[in-house]
Formats: sequence, C-alpha cells, structure tokens
Amino acid sequence: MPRQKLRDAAFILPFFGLILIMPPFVDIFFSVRLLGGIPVILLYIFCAWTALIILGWVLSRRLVTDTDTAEPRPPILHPLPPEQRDADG
Amino acid sequence: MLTADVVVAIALGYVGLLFLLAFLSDRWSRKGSRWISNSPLIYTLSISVYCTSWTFYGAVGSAARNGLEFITIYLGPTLVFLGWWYLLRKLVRIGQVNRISSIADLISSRYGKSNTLAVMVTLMAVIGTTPYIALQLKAVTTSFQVVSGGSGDLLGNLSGDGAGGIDPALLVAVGMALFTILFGTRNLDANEQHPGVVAAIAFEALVKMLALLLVGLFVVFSFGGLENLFPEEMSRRLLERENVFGGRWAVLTFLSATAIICLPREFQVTVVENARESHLRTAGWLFPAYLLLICLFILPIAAAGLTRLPEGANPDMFVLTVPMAANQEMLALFAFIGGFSSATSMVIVACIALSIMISNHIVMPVVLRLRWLRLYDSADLKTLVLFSRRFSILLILFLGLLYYRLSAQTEALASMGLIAFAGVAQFLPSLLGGLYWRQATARGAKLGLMGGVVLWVYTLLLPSLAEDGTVFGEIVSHGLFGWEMLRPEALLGMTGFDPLVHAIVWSLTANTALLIAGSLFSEQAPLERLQSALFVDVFRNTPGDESRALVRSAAIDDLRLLSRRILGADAADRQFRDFALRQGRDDGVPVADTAFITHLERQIGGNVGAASARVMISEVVSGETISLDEIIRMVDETQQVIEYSQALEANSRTLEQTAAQLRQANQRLMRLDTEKDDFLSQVSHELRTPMTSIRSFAEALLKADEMPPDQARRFMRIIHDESLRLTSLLDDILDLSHLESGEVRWQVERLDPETAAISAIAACEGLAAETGVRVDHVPADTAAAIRGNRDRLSQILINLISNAIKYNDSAEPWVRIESRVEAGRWRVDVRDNGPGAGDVAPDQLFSKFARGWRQIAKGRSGTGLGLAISAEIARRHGGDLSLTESSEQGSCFTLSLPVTH
Repeated sequence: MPRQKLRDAAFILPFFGLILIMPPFVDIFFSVRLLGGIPVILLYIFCAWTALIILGWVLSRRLVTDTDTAEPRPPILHPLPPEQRDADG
Repeated sequence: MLTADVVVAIALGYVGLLFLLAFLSDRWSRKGSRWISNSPLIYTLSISVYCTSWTFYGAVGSAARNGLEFITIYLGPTLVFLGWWYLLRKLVRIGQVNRISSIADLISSRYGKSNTLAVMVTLMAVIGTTPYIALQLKAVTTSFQVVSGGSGDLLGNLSGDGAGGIDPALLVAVGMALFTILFGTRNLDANEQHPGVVAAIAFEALVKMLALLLVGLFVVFSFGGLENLFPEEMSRRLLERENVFGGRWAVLTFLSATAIICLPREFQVTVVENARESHLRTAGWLFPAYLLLICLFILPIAAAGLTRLPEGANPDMFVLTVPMAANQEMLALFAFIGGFSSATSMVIVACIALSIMISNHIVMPVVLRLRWLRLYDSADLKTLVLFSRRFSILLILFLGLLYYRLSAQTEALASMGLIAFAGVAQFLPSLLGGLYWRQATARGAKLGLMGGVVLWVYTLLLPSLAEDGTVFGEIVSHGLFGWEMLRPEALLGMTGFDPLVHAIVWSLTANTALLIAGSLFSEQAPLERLQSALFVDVFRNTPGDESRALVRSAAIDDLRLLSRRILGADAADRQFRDFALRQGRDDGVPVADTAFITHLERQIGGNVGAASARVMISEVVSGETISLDEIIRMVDETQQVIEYSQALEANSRTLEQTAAQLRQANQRLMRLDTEKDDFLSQVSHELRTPMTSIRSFAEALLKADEMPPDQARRFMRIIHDESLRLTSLLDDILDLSHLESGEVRWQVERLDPETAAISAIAACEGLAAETGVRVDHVPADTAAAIRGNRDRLSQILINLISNAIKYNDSAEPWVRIESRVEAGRWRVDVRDNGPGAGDVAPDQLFSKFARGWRQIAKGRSGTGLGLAISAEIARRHGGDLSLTESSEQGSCFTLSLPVTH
C-alpha cells in the first residue's frame, strides 16, 4: 500500500475501534447468553479488541517514519569556511 | 495461615529486589549500556504504570458491582495507542525537540513559556494525584491486612497493627520515598530520564500481570472450566444491567483515553522517558495487548468471588480472598505482591513526575525572584534543584499519607480513581488545542483550565467530600446560596444524568468553550506565536528554524557560568565543546549566536522547565528581538512545503502512470516488430517459391532449342499459373494493407446479410461439387438488416466456405452455414467436419504477421492472407470474426455483425 494510504488507515483505525465498541454496534451483540461458556457480549468485546490489536500490529510494521529512514537532521548551523575563520581569529 | 511477619519479610525482600534492579540498571546505563533505552518492550511495560492497584484490586470490584463497565477504563487507552501515529508520535517528537520535562512544561512552553499556566497545571496535578496516592497506600494496607489475617473485618480497621503497631502505609510511604529519591533524583539528567526507575517499573508491570493471570487461571481451573464458573445465571447477574452502553459507557471510555495522555505519570513514562520515537511503533499494539491480558480474567475472578465467598465480602479484595478461601496461600501471597507492585510503581512514577513539576514550576520561579540567589551569586543551582526535587517527593508522599489518614471513609476504590481522571482531563483542551490549533492563546488556555477546574471541583469533588449536615452537604442537596439551579449534581436543572457524566459534560464543555473564546478574543504574544509554530508544525520545521525568528546575543562567559550552575561543570563544558565543534571551531569556545543560545536554553529547560530556563537566559541575554515577519514567513514556508510536496506527490503519480503506459506501448511495439519480421520473411519466402519456378521453367524454355511443343506448352502454362498465384498474393497483400490503413472505400448500403450468404454459397458450389463436399444452408428465422457492402461480406463468407471445403479430408465431408439473429447481432456459423485449425492460438489465426499463419498456409493453395483480410473486413463493419470451435472433429468460424433498425 502506498505510504499516504497507510497513514490514512492509521488515522482511521482508532475511530473504527470506537465504532466497534460504542452503541449502536455493541448493542447488537449485547446478550448474556453463553457461547462456549463465555457470555456473548464478552466474547464480542474481546474478539473486537484482538482484531484491533492485530490490525495495529500489521499497520505499525508498515508505517514508515522519517526518523526510520533518515538520520535525524542536524540543526542548521552556518560554519564559517576555514580561511574566513583564520581571518577572524 | 500467613503471618504478618512472613508477609512483611517477603514484601521487604521484594522491595530489596527492586532496589537492586534499579541500582544495577542505573549503573549499566551509566557505563554506556543502552539495553534499557533501546528496548521497546521495556518502554511498553513501563507505560503500564497506568494499571495501578485501582486496576489490580478495583477492576474486579468494579466488575462485581457494575458488570462490564470496568472494561471502558482499558478500551480508551487502547484506542489512543492504536492511533499513536497521529497524537502520541507528535507529543513525543515535541517532547524530544523541546526537551519537555512534564505535562505542565509542555502546556506552558506551547503558550509562550507562561509560568502561570505551568503553576496552574502543577497545582491541578498535585490535587488530582494526592488522593490517588492515598488510594495506593490504602490498597497496600488493606491487602496486607487481608493476606496476613491481621483483621477479620476486611475494611473496618485501617490503622493496621499487623506489623508491630506500625501502619503498613507509613512503611510503604517511607520505602517509596527512599526509592524515588535514590533513583529518581540521583542526578539532573538533561532528558529527565531515569533508566533505573524504568527498569524497576517494567519489572513490576510483569509481576502484576503474571499475578492477575495466575489468579485467573487458578479460578478457571478450580471451577473445572468456564461452564461451571459462568452459569447463565451468573452471567445474567454480572452483565445484565440497565442501559450498559449508555452515556456512562461513552464518558468512561473518553475519560480513560484522556487519562492515558494527561495523567502526569503517564506523560512521564510515555513522553519524557521515551528514548526513541520508534518505540511507539511497538507500544502502539503491545500496550493494548497488555491491557487485554489484564482484563482477561477480571470477570471470572469476580464471578468466583460472588459464588464462593460469603455475602457481603468486599469485592475489591476478591483477587486475594478468592485464592485464600481455597487455601492457596502462596497464590494469595503472589497476588499480594502483584498488588503491591501496581501500587508502588504508581507511587514512584507519580512522585517523580510531580516532583519535577513542583521544583521546576513552583520552587525555581520563586528562587529566581529572590535577590540573593540571582545569577552572579555563587550558589550552585544544580544542588538546589535536586534538593527541591527531594523535598517535593517527601511533600507529595506526606500529603498522600495525610489524605489517607483523614479520609477514613470506606469508599469504593473506583470512584476515587475516576474523580482524579476527571481532574486531569481538564488538561486535554489546552493540550490538544496547543498541538493542533495554531491560534490557541495563553489567555484562552488559562481561562479554559480555570473554568474547567472550578466546575470539576464544584460538580464532582465537592459532592464526593460532602457529608450530610455539613456546609458541603447543604450545598450538594440545595445548591449554592440555596439556589436549586446551582445544585452541583444538577447544574442549571440538568437532572437525570449520572453524576460523573454530568460533571464531565459541564467541565469539559466549559473548558473547551473558554479556550476557544479566549483564543479568539485575545492576541498571541510574539514568543507565543513562535512557540505555536514550533509545536503545531513540529514534523515540518527544520531544527534551528526558531533561531531565525528569535535573535539575541550574550557574552559567552555569562552563558558558561549560567549553564555550569544548572547543568554542572562537566556537562556544561561538554555542551560548549560539542557545539563549538558543530560550529566548526576547534578552540572549544562556541560563538554565542542565536542558535547556540537557543540550544542552551533547551538544555537548561530540560532541567528546570522552559519557563524558568527562559527567565534565566533572559538575565544574561541582551538585545532580544522576536521577528514577527520571520515567524510569519516560517509558517508560510511550512505551508508552501506542504503544498509543494502534495503537488510533487500528484506529479509523481501521473509520471508513474505514464511510465506504465509507455512500458506497455513499448512491449506492444516490440511484439509487432517481431511479427513484422516474421511476416516479411514469410512473404519473401512465399514470393520466392513461384518466382523460382517461373525462372527455372523460363530458363529451361530458353536453353532447350528443340523442345517438343506440348512440353513447352506445359512449361508455359506452369509459368502462367505461377505468375497468377504471384499476382493474387500481391493483390491480397495490397488489399490487406489498404484495408488496414483505411484507404479502401466501399459503398455501404442497407442489406439483408442472408443474401450475401446465399451468393457466397452459390460461388462455392462449383468447388463443392468438384470435391464432393455437401454444403447445407440453415438461414435465420427472422430477417435482419445490416449496413455494409454485399461484395465484401460475400468475400468473407466465400473465404470461410472455400477454406472449409478445400481442407476437409473426412470420409463424408460436409459444410454447414447456419445463421441466426440474437442480442442485436446477426451471426453466421461456418461449420465443417474437417481436421480443425490445429493448436494455433485463435488471435494469431487472424493476424497477418503471426507465426501461426505459416502452419495454416502450409501445403495449401491460396495466400493464407484470407483470414486476416476477412477479419479486417468484419472489423470495418463493426463486427468480428472468430474461431468458436476447433477440434479434430471439425471447426466452426463465427462471423457476427451488428443489426441496424
């Protein structure tokens, strides 16, 4: 995926998570009935949570920061050329 | 039964282990070993100082009381960390570039290094944190009593007498003070980073997680699986509440998301202690995973507590009492250590964060105002800073202990934590406004913070402290001055809301509104404008940009004196030497230019806070001017860079597309080129064969003087036939090239295509009769009309039919011409039972240049260009010609043409 799209995805991810855990979506799965010994609503929240973590993991491996690719830029200094320095000194 | 002595001994042993770990880590990092600051895992674990004893004990309690609600406290931080790329990365970058030492420092720096703001934030942080520290002390005491059986009543007796009459809280407070002073204020580090502390709290993070997981696993297994632990009735009892996902659910999620950014201790570990920005990459998913593990067994433990323990047992202590009820003393002890870890790590980090804030923003400004401590005196400020840090730590712990002693009420742990969360949430508007809104001003931030805090105190803190019959109680039940409209829990008649939701909505709305209004109606001071440009555009500015806008000069000796006093002689000299080298000077004395002064101010700011550093530097600096034009130019340039890079990106996308198209075109051209070569060699070959035979027969005729006339005649016939073939080949090539270049014009008329088929069949009758092939014609049911040239259409069909007849070598050869009208097209199939077209690819069959042509034409009369010409004619009619079937039992060509209406 191109870099900009990855960044957009990284921006969307927490909002996507928010939609998953907020009503009305979470209401759909609200049930105290058991599925394999676990209440359905609990199962839903933990599954959604795990999915978000996995997505976050995948994204974090692909997102590239400028600090990863380049050395940190040194502050801009304006060193005097040697001959001028001598003249000053 | 565990005795108090054993528990104390083990807790002391554990603390000793922490001291050892911190001591060793400190020593390693001092020797230059970087494994602590290099490890994203340790960084992530240290962030989990978020999970205090409020989590360790309180989450189960909250789950037992309020069901699913506890999980919101962990979902909010999960979302914030998943979005690390946008918010946390910016915070960390700003923190590193500007050497930010605390959240108060960040907010004050952004708003023009305002000391007033720093003091406000610091005071608020102290107010919000003290009860929280008290909470940790209380948790340690209570859990100690529970695990050592010091008191049968789990909550009533808080003045623990288990440890020989000494309150465990006091012991813990003293121990933590010692630890924090030793490892948190050992020296003044330019980055405020404490590897020893970080290593210790990362270790504690592991311990508390393991303890919770072990208790959880024990519960699940001792009940023989989840089915027994969680019967549907228990699930109903725990989870079925009215309106679970209502306003409180949303507000708690929001609050916890805010807390992970704004809590001073979280800011300390996430931003200040961050050694590398790239660690966020790991923390972004690993910290949510840590929280998930913490939450995994909370509900099972709550369920076990409700099932196994007698009615009325304190749910806040289930983590301990459940294993104890099953006589698992070692597990209970481990759980106690886990809870102890979560409490101590919070206390340590909170103390460090607060002590930095207090010494930088309250003590230092006072010191700087006192005449006798001014710059040219010889007092060593570094020692003073360290001393004020240590004093602050003692003060904070003392306040916490005091609060703990005074608030003897048996309040649930959870509500105290939430009140603190709501308090620090007041930092959020100023923080986010400062990071993303260029125009936010210090006036706005002050107003917002003030308004938010006042409302927080009035709507949340006051009711929590109020008891019936006191002045506070009176206010809570009847409103300030007896005005019902001002009732703290129903402000302006806003009733029907949960008190927490009510308080958050009021305080944060007022806070944000005041920030916005205050910013809109006030002007930024020059320094503020510079700082806002530096913060909001932190990813786009070139370091050193600000030195363009902020011009000042100073005597190098003054600077040296000042920095030696703050940083210490060694560190200061190192800074001077390094910077001199960067300036290209080898005498070790840097030029005191704007860049150097800015650099030095940041270094000093890392130790005493930006506001104090500015005051100090201003003492020695002369002729400071802040050029507004330069600031505006900086902002403009940033804007231009953004636009330019966007344009560049768009450009490169178009270029990429064009390049791809060119590549395709090139491939096509190369293919055509090979095909053309093939064709030329084939045509030469085809032309050469008749030419050779013509030449040889002509030579024979010329040489042989006395050739019998009938033989000469035969030779001449051959020459004639061959030249006819040559001509027809050349005709075909010409025809095809004319067709393809579009030079041929023919008369187009409306006609019934069936007539073209009939005339084509008629033209082939002679050939069919000669070879004994049966030709059937099955015309379409409905008549169709097309636009085209009858002769040319017949040409196609003649070509198809004659090919079918000529190459049909089956025993009972037949050719069937079957036409039909479907989907707006007239289609005609020319089917035969001949040998088929072999394995030639269909698209090559109709290509004049194709290699397949050679195979088809082999051993056949005719030029072999017929199919290419037919296909071209069909195309020019808007139709197409294709091979629809081909096998050893026969083949079928289909011509399809659009019908006109």
